[in-house]
Amino acid sequence: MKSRISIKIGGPAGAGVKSVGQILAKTLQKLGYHVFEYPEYPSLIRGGHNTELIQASVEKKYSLIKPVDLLIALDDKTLSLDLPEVIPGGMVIFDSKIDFKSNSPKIEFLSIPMSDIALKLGNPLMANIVAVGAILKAIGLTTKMTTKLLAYQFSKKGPDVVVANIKALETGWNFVKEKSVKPILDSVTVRTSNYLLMNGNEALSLGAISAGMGLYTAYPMTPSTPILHFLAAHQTELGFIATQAADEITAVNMVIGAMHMGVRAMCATSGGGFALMNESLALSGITETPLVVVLVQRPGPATGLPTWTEQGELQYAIHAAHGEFLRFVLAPGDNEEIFQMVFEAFNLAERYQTPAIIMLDKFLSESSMSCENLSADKFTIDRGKISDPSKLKKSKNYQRYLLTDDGISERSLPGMENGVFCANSDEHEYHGLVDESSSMRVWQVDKRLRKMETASKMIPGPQLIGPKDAKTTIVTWGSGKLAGMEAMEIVNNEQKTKNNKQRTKNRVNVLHFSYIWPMNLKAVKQALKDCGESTLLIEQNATGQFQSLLKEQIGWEPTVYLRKYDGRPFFAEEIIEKINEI
Amino acid sequence: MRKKLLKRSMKSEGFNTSIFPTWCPGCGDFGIWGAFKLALESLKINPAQVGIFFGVGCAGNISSFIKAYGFHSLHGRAIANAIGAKLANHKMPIIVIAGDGDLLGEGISHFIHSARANHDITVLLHNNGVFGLTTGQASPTAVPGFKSKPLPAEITDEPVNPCALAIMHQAGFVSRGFAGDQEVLCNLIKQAIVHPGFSLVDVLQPCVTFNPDKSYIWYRQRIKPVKVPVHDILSGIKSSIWTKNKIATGVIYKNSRIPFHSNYPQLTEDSLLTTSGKKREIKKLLSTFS
Repeated sequence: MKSRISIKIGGPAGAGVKSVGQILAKTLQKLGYHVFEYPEYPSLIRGGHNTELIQASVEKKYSLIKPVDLLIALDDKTLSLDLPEVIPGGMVIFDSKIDFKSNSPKIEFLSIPMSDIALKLGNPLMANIVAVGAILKAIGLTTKMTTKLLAYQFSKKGPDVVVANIKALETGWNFVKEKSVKPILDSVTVRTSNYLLMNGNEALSLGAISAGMGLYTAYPMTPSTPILHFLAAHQTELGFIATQAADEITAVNMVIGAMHMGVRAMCATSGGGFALMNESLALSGITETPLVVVLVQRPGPATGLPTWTEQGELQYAIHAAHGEFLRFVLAPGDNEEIFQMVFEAFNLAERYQTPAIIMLDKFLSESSMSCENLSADKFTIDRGKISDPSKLKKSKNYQRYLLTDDGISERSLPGMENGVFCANSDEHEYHGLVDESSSMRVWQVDKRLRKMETASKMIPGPQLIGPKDAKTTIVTWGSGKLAGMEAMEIVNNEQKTKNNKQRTKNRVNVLHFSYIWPMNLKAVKQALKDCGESTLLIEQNATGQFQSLLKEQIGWEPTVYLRKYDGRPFFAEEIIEKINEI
Repeated sequence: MRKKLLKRSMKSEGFNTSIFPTWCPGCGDFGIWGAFKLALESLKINPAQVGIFFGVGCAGNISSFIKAYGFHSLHGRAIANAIGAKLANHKMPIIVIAGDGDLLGEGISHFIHSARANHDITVLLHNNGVFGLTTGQASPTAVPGFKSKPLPAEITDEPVNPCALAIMHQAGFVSRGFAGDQEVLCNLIKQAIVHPGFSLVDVLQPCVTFNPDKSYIWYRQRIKPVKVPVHDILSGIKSSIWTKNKIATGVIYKNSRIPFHSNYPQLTEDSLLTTSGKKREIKKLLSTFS
């Protein structure tokens, strides 16, 4: 019985490939399927080759597998580039305008005049909706749910647009019906779930709103731009500000300025923008002003592959900026973790009065996936040692940079009586006034670095997911968690079908790191000891940045490693293949 | 009168710190320091009720000589910090103090963008035409003929005119003062702080050590106060241009554009401080993802 389906849609930019993916993903989600939607597109507005990979299943799935059951080609490029991914027994639906003769007897080909139908209905842009109708019928679904979604989506454009789109949907559906093909997805009873369908950028935005963010500011840069759009759309109703800054240097410094005043603020960017922000990380470090920066990675160097994925900036995030100071680096691996880590980043930044960097990547930030209902009930807001204005009012000699055992001193906010100080980028004495004396320099450096000691003791270690007694442990950080868990599920499920003796023999678990820096060495050492007899470290970069960090910090190395840096995400099969090599 | 004023400004004890200024004797910064403190005092601004963002350079060093909530930023970035601070707490006066090298060199994009957005901040620009703290390189406002250390000959670059630049981008309030006339300068600073929108006080400031040609006397011979501010860009720019014998001072240009933060209806009588840092309910928003 086929309870998991993989659909790929391809076409040029501007043909509405993304819309097809979104409508389809939402339909399947509403019907109770667990959905993963992964977009690929080059950095251009018209032409090129855009794809949407939609994988849906009855059971919870974590990430992508390679085989495609159904390919929808809106142009000939899709047929030449993506056809090899279609499995025997699969189906290809293509627009009749494409001059194509199939030569593969194991795949069913359906030619549908999508463009012609759309043109007859009055808008050639609706060819993609015809395709959605065709897909629904091909996988064995009705148009009911999608009709509702389209009616809602186009309601603002007027009833004519709604009617035309629904007509396009039904025409596509009926076209496939007439061909009487066997539906790809078996009819199974799917329970409606309370899953949410969202991408990492959305989970991040929701986390920031929930965590009481007052100001968000950013300069557009793929793949972080949608965060700005999402937050801007909800700012008035929810009472915060989301605004476009003149550049990334402005963005990060606006955040520092707002944080100095006592308002939780955040900015997001990708590698190039993060590079521009470097000097300001140091400003946050020495002035001990909280700062939250989101770094959504894409392949570099420089412009690199702007719309693809990579985890190439781990060492950079840990070391960016001049001088020595504490910064937190967090790398959540799925929507639930992203949501939680925004709370954590704000809390850590305010508690330790220093920068906190949240690392995502294009794969995580732009892929939509079903996730548990997000809730902030378990999380608390900790604003750290902010002065109590009434106590401060009575105090005689408030010192902003007082030396303390944990390295953290009380922080007054502009407006509080008796709390005046200078947040000074120059080395400074207790009130923040410039002081270049040898003794004060050493005291203040030591004070700031004591925060690192304090933090590394309390920061959580990695998370062991899956069976404790596994033979192989997949070590992941950031978005690697998704692919790692998918591979684990597949391998362990295969084991289940074998006899008892073999069952435990080759089981796999995952050791996932989302707290990257500073490192709780004791917790990390223990977790690595608890790994299976062989370990596989996966990361999406060429030089093994996390691997070298572990080696540098505790001298640990995995049995084998898997690195991918072609801009494409890990597929579960690639990881399984590597496990089988051990 | 002038002597009395100077004496008072050196006192202004409420705003003095434990550190006495480290500028060269005769530096124009002393005059600006005094006029600024007097302006805050006469506006009855409490040191705890103002946010000042300082650049890096001789002007930025004033951060350790003024007792108020201060933020000594990076070179060029004080405006960027200040506009974030203003959005965070739009009820508080936000002031930027930095030099011409800082604001018009590394920080020129922040200067232009915040002027055209009309962010409600006051920029006090110490304009001495030279990088003083790094001992005498040409700044963006240095005029042709200036001998700059890193160049074999006199500079030929035309100077940036901060007033013209601000007027061109329709900043709300554009003025020019002189460090050698504290009384007038104090008055300009007061008007600038009160103005709702981007306000510039471009202060002509002698650097007695590294730009001695532009002395107090040199400026005094050229400055000509304007009678009233103009409201149209072209007349404003024209009036702001330096000629051989004349440099206009006073409030050169003014408009009544709304300040940037007024574009946000979510900023009401309460600033973002009242809601930020408290959990927000997102159930309604989450339901759109189900």
